[in-house]
Amino acid sequence: MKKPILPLNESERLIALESYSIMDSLPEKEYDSITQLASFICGTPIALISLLDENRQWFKSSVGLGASETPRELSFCQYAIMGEEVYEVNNALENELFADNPLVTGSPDIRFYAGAPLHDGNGFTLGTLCVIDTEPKELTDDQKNALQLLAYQVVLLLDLRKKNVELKTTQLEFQNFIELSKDLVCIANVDATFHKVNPAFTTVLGYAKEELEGKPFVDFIHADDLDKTYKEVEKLAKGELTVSFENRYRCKNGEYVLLNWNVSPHPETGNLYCIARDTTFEKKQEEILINTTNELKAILNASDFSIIATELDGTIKQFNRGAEKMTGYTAEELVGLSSPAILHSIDEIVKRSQELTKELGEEIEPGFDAFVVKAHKLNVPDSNEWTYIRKDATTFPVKLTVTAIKNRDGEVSGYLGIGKDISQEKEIELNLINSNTLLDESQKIAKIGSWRFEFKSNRLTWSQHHYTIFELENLPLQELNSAFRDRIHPDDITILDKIGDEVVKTGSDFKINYRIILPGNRIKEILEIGQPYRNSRREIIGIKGTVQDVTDEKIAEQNLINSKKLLDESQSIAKIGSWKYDLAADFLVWSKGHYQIFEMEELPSEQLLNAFRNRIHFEDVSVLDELMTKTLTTGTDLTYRYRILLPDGSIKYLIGIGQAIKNSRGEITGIQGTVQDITEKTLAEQIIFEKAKEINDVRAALDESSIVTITDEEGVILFVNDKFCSITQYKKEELIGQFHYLGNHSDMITKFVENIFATISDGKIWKGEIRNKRKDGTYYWVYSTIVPFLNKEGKPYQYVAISQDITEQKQDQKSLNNALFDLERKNKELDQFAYIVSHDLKAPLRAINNLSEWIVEDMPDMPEEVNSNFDLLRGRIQRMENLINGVLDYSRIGRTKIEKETSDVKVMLDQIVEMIVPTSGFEVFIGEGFPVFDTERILLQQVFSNIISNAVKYSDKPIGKIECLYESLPDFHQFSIKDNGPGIAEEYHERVFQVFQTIEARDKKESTGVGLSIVKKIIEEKGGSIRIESEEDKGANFIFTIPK
Amino acid sequence: MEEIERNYKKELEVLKQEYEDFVYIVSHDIKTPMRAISNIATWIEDDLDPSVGGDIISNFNLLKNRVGRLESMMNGLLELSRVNRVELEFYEINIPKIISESIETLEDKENVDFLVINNLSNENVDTLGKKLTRVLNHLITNAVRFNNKEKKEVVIELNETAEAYEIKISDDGPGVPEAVKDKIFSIFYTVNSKDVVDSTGAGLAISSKILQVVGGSIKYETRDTGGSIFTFNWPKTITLKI
Repeated sequence: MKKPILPLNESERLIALESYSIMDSLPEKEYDSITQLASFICGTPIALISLLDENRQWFKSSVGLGASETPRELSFCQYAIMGEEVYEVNNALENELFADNPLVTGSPDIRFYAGAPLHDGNGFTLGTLCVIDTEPKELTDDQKNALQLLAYQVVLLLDLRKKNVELKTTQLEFQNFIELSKDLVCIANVDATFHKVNPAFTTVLGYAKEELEGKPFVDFIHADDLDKTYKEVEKLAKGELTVSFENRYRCKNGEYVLLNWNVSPHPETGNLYCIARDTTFEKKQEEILINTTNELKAILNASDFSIIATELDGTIKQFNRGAEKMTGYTAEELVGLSSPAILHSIDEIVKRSQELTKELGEEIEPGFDAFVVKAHKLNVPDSNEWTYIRKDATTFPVKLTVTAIKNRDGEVSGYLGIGKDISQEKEIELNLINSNTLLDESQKIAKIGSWRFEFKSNRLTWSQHHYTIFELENLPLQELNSAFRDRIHPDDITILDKIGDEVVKTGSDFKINYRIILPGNRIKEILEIGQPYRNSRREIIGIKGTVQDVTDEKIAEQNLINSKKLLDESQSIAKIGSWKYDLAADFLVWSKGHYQIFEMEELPSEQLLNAFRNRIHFEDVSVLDELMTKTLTTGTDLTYRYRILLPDGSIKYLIGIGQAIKNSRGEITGIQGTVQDITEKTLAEQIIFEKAKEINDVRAALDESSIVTITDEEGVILFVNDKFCSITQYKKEELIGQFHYLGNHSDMITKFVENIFATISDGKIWKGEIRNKRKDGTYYWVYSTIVPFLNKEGKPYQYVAISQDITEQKQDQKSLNNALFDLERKNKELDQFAYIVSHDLKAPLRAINNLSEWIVEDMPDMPEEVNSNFDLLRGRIQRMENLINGVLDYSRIGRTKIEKETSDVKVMLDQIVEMIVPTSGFEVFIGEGFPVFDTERILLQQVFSNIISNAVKYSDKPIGKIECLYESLPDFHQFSIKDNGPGIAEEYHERVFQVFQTIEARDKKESTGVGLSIVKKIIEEKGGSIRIESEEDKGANFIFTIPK
Repeated sequence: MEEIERNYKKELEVLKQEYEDFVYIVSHDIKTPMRAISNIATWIEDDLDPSVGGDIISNFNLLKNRVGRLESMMNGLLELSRVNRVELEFYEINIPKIISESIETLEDKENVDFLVINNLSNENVDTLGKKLTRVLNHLITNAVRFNNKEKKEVVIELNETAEAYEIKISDDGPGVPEAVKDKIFSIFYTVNSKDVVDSTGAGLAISSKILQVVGGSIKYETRDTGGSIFTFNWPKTITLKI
């Protein structure tokens, strides 16, 4: 089998063949006549019109061959379609393409083939017109030409056929479209009869097709619509291309439907092409809408509501019956003529506009806007109470709800105001107010206010008198709760809060007292009784209750408590207790003071007697019992002293008095009395006794140790002791009767003695040093105390002088004075020095500062670099001056107090580092958390700068590292400054803080020595401490503390 | 009684210590910003266009002068603070020799007649050589510097007792007014304004301090013929009084 041979455009060729819809069609005479003609011309028994599809060749027409098709791969035609010209095989047996072809080797035994290709207009070869013979043969040129021509003819036939098919398809589709359309489609002739109608006519109008076609269409049009229809159709005659109109058509059942027509004439035939739509349904809908609207109107008109619709500008559009009824105006009077303002009072409109201005935060004019602005802006119905003025000028309250009316595009096209006469409600409300007033009145009289709190809305309401009690003006609901809480005493507010929670939990009633604070810090005591209230489902929805001003009652109560307390207190102060003993019940009662004296907690009376007896000193119990019994039996008054023994072993002395209590029959039923703590008095007596003894002892001792003289009020000696004699070298006899201060030291009788006398004769003690002369003329010093003894009139009647020999001390004093003088001189010197230094140093410093300022002023266009250097210069000058001032302060450590300043240690460290540490060769780390605290800044600065400058000075590493850290200890600030320098050997840790003298290698360490000694001194003066953590070659860490 | 006295003495010690501390702090701590001021002044000078007005230049020169003075004062103070701490080496010196050396180093010696009267039998002494040199330098320099005469005369007289050398330096200068002669040993005190003779007023204070440290003494007298006489005692055996 030979491989099939295909044209290059095979797939397009197949599509082209397909478009002819020719394959497997019935035989047609036109084609058969061509094959017969071909057979005749070529003188062959067989002629075929062969068309090649994918798999086969199919014969549209054949002469002399029984088959209708053969497989394509066996066909001769597959070769014939490859070329343009007639393809001829003269003897198939001799042709290698066909020699073994079954059509050649077997039936129909083909020897000769000639095929003319069938070219369509688009370059595709659809098949061939071919002639076949069983004998070898050769066509003449004329025969070939004829075959070619016949092939053209076949193609023409094919093309014609194709066009016919297309036309038919289109017509069919159009037909279907018309047939299936729901719209009524028809063609009317120029003579005004239906030419063709579609089935929709039947569906809509009910007539069969035949009943319409050929009938004049005017027969079906509603008589009233004929004129209109004619008019429209005439327009077409005048040249309009399309007309649209409505008219009513009669259905077969006699009803009319409304048809909406579009009609166009055919330009040539003049036939009318018409499409109509049944709009009856839409019309009906419209009607229903109108009816509904009317009904609604009716309802509204019949209602008790006034309904007023307005234009945007307020012009009344609608004014319903309700409105007419209410206001006395008729719709005719107002619609289109007036705005609803005619119904309102100007005052109310003005007021409302002011409210709105406030509420909306923009100016609302007192006009129509006052009614509608909210509805318009917020897009919500706006309800308010207004007063409507009737036509007859009477008024009534109305609740007016205004809504914005919107059109389909959502634009506001007008407003609708619905009003309800609320006269009745108002009346009820008024009655309610009246009854409330009545309630308030009664509450006022009872000093009671009532309240109610609703959980859901968090709303508190108060009766009028509640406000009065709390001295508050009536408040809006939302403000009341906080105003209420503000009034409550801060200590009591938690009680109130708790109560609320509890009532909700337990559902039980409550009664509490609390205080409120009124202006001027007055306090009112409030008694509040409350209970929960419930809704119909028995759920607690709030609390209600009453408040009562119970201040007066509380005060009375307090007074009672106070007076009792006063009694207790006075007993306690006087250390008096009272008691009462009931004989029959063997029953003892004590006052609080009694308990206090006995230092006992209050006890039940049955235990008290026993406890009482246990406290009594065991030596005194029997005596007391005896006395008691005596009083109980004889009725004599009771007076007794006894001691009680307290748990700590101390003793109290008590004195008690008692009286028998008698009943009406004169029988003794008990004793009542008081007991007084006389411990102090008793002890004082004992002390006096002891003192007296002591004084005698002291006097004896005094005689031994001191010089004692006694003179009378004139100064005449009454007594001298042995000491006086020995120091003065006089004998007693030589002294007594002499004037004390004469002769003895006549050189001092001047002002000095006068002063002494002035003091002691005034009853005051004189103390001081006196230089006296001995008998031998030498002097001695005494320190004397001269005590005047006063008589009952307060006048001195004698003077006792007690003196100590201080001669030696006086001598010591002299050298001490010298030392003191040195000290003072040095002190002064240092002050002067410090002053001079700081003053003298400041003078050139100030000069430098001034000069630099002058230079800067003189050079307005100074280069930036120079300018900034001047700034820098002045900064240093300032710093230097501060330092000078600072060290001046420092020099006064211990003498002048340095003011504490709030110091930020971090800032201080930054400054010190900037000042001391060179920018290159060092890395400084300052930690976090440094405190800001009050301290003597200059001192702390000294400490830091000394330590840090040491770290810099002794650094021996390429990069010196300095680390400043802070740690807050419980009572101290702890600072540490760590370096990576050479470190300090342990044996020097103490010594570095000592003054420079003790340190070896002075040249090297002198500055450290003094610096650190200052550091240590400052820190220790502040109450802190300093230590070093260091080993040689491992850097040093100076850690110091300052108390917080 | 002794207790109180001891306390006084202790307090006195503390006070002395404070004095030392104060001088130390002033001279050391203030040196840092002082250096900065001096440096900045130099930078400004480098950057300053020399063609700016004469006023500015003269003001700036004045500024530099004040910076210099301040530095000298600082140095003086530093020296004062170091008197009892540095240069405490004992070695043998020859007193006339150090005097002539001191004269040699003077700047303005051409117009001065120096007369040294040497009554010493022990010219060589083992003492705090540097300190003695310093005192002599200060006194001799002062004798010349404050002398406003064209031709100046300075007499140095050397005497000795068993315990001390007594050195008297007199000049024919203006002398010190009677009213202020107590103040001249104070630091930074100058009889005239520092602008008249550029001086820091530290020399006498330092000298006085040195003599205090070595246990000697110094006094001032006015010469009959006008001029000053400074006489100081230098103990032969030194016990440091620090």
